[in-house]
Amino acid sequence: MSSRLGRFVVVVLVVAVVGSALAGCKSAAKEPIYIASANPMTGDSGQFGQFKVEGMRLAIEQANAAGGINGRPIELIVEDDMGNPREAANVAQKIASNDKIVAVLGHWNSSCTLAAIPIYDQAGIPTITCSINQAISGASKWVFRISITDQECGRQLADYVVQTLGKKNIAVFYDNNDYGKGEDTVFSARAEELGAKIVARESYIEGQSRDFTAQLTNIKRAKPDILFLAGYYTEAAMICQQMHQLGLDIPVIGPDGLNNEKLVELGGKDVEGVMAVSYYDKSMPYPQTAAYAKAYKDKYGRDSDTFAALAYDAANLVIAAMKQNGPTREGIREYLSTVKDFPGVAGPVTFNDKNDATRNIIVLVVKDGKLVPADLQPPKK
Amino acid sequence: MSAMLERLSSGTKRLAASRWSVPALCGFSLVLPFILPSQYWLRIAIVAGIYAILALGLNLIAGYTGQLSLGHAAFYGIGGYTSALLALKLGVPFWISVPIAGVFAGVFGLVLGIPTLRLKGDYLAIVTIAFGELVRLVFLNWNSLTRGPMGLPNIPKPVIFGYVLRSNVAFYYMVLILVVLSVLLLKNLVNSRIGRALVAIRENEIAARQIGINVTELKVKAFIIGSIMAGVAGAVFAHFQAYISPDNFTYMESVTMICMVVLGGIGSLPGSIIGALVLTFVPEMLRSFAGLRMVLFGLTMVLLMLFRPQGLLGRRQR
Amino acid sequence: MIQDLLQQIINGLTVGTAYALVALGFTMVYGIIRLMNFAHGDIYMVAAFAAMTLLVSGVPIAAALPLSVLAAIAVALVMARFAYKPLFDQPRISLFLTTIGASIILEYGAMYIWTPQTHAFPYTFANPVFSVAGARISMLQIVMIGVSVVLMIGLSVFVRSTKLGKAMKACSHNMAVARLMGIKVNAVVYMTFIIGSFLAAVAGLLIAIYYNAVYPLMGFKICLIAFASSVLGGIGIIPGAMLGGLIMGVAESLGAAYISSSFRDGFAFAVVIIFLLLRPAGILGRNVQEKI
Repeated sequence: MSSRLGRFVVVVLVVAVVGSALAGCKSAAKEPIYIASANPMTGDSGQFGQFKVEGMRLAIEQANAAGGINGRPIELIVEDDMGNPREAANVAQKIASNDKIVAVLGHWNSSCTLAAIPIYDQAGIPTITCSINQAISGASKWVFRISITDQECGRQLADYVVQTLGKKNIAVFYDNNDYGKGEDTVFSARAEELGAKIVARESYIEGQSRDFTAQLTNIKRAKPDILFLAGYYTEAAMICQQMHQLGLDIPVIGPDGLNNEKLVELGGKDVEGVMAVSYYDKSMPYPQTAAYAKAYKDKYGRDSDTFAALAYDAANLVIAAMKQNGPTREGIREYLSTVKDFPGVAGPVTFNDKNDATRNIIVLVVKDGKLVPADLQPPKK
Repeated sequence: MSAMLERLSSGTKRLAASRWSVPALCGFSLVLPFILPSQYWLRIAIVAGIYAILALGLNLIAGYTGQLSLGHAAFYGIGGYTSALLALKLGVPFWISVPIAGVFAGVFGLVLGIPTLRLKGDYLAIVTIAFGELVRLVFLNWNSLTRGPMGLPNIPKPVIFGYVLRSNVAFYYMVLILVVLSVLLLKNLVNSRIGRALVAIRENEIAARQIGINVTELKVKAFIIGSIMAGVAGAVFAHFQAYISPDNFTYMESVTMICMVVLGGIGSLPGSIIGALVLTFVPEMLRSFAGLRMVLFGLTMVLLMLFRPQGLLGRRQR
Repeated sequence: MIQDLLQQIINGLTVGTAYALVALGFTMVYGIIRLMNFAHGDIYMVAAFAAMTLLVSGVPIAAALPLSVLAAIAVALVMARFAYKPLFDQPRISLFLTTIGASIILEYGAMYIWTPQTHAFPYTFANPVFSVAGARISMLQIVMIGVSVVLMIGLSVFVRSTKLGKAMKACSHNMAVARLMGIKVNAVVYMTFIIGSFLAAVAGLLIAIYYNAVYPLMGFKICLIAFASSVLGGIGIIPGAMLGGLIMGVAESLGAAYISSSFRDGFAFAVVIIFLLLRPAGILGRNVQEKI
């Protein structure tokens, strides 16, 4: 009896130990330096993550071609948070507990970043995000934001809508998460400050519903002259279609969540004229921009979007940090907190005392199925 | 296929029955944190422990009294949100907020258990699904309380007698203690007259009533105990993960829990623990097949029902 | 005000008829073999995805639609034959869990093959909009309601007048007796599955075109709604499913507009709970006592 038992126990233990060892084997390599990407690769925000990874890979490729960091190649570990804050927490745990990873580039959705920050903070791993929600400002000395805060974005958008476009009756339709709510708060406050009226405010929960006709009918009743759509491209496409079905033919403008070619793919003719915020366009006058635009196009066959560009800059920031302070978490953090006017392809980058970068927004518009800079742009600060 | 499973299950049964099994298991689980190769796997072990508590409670409801509850995640969520909100908004310490969370979940167990008494099999299952989804929708839409889809971040780490449970190792032992307590509680229940009454209810409710068993009381009690356990598990999870959102308490979670119970064997306590371990560790090991992970889950369910509906350690039903 | 109300009702009826189609299939299968087919909603999804894939590969719409309906029916038959049939005599919980397993395989299989994103349904066509007493109704909505109504009438006629239809009714009353009377019960069950899947597949295509969106979890949502509609109208009763579907669609629409938009998602669940607890027989059903 007990010998069979003994054998069984031994087998179980061996399987358990070998299994877990094999599972842990992946991160055993010594030579390369690892950076992690934690972004939505699948799911309704998936396209953004895909593009970000492309930007990162380009930067890393260029760095490795120039010899890496003291001869050590950089490798990118790509994790998928699916745009879901719960998955983001899991991914963050996974990354933070892997001592070989020296920096994290992510997340993309504000809710995901917020869920992950306490984990990165506790583990002490430098993180560069492009999420815009204001709660990220100063949340952790390890977390840096390369895009813009929603305070800034919302303000500049409101200035554009009310002053440049001259719209005074605004309807707000926001995604009920950190991103959309944050944008709504700032945008509406600023718009009202400038003398406009928010005539209707509706919300939706992403991923829950495909039918927005109820909210749109309410919005239509309020007779707005523009719709501020604070959400992501997937719902935006459906909302635009349903707007036309209901005969609600007003211009639509939104923050960076709308800024993706998938908007056109999903929305077709119904998204013509939709305006979205961007931080990058290949025609920008900064020294590195033209070279980047060409390199990206050569490698991937299409123009870079705003998030690939920001990811490229973020990766380069980490690479420069490692060149100067060595491939350590503390060294990278130190560099990021003191760097001034880092030459980025989307503009110079400096992180202020809350670890936020700042920049001017560009407005893109969907014209003939492509996102191009709008004729009217916000006034430069 | 079923022959192989048969051999596996009788081997496991013999193992479980042998004199050395319990001490061996205890020893193994005590030193586990030091055997596992990384913090990551320790975290998985902790999560597996939490699911074990969930599966044990669900086994009481579904396995022992035959009430197929597919909304167990609701109690899990209620416990989690209660403890998190108490800690975040009122600064209630862990060792008070967790029992309150459990009791609160138990109240909801009562709320669900009573009206569903007259419902049979499939209908009961559907109502529990609807209940689970409604609870999740409340989490999702009650923005002022739960922050809706944004979830509750920064849930504080537990402080027990002045000691902050910050490390994974500490959490592991706490969860281990809770699992052991759950098993002891249920074992007591199941090996008593009450336990046999529960099995009688599952086999034939009308006959059980005829011989004088207070079916109503026992069915409701099972729901309450199961949901209290789920609530406690939820509270522990919330403080462990430091972040919860409605997405942690979906229908898929309830399905996973039922899978664990069914895989381990309806009516088998060690089965539920094994079910929880297998269905937590195996998907992680298969993370590289992430896309197919859930498909394999579904396939497992179907194959299990086709070839071995009593799971690994359960008894074949009539 | 009235225009808005009318508009909401029109929108509600449009989706309501699609709900009714799916509910019909669900209730028919339940009526005959007392099986809650959890994977029924996923057949609806399979049809939509099949059509999308065919259209994207350049197959013309006239061929893509019927082909995807066939594909969906095929999937349903495979499930019935290999996953359900062997379990007919097992305790109900086994069958129920199998349908859940099958549903998961379909949903996450679709996610694996086509990725979890929402996809566009690549079919554009001229869609003129008409004005009816101040509300708008589009050609597409008219077509949807029309198709659904035609199918429902067709089904009623079929069940009432044809031999197969009567055989189905007999089986749903008492399968053992039906078998004794010489009815080929197996064939009837398979036919029921085929008809039910056909209806679900058509509904899936209509909804995919209407919302221009196809996503792997669309089946889960519709399944709960189908169930709610069936229970609402009286489970196992064909006119009940139709009535239930229409009521669900319109009530959802009105609730979302006048109470709250989040109402829409929770409405189906609330209906299920309320009806099963208070009036399990549904609107048109009769209470059946359990025999000892």
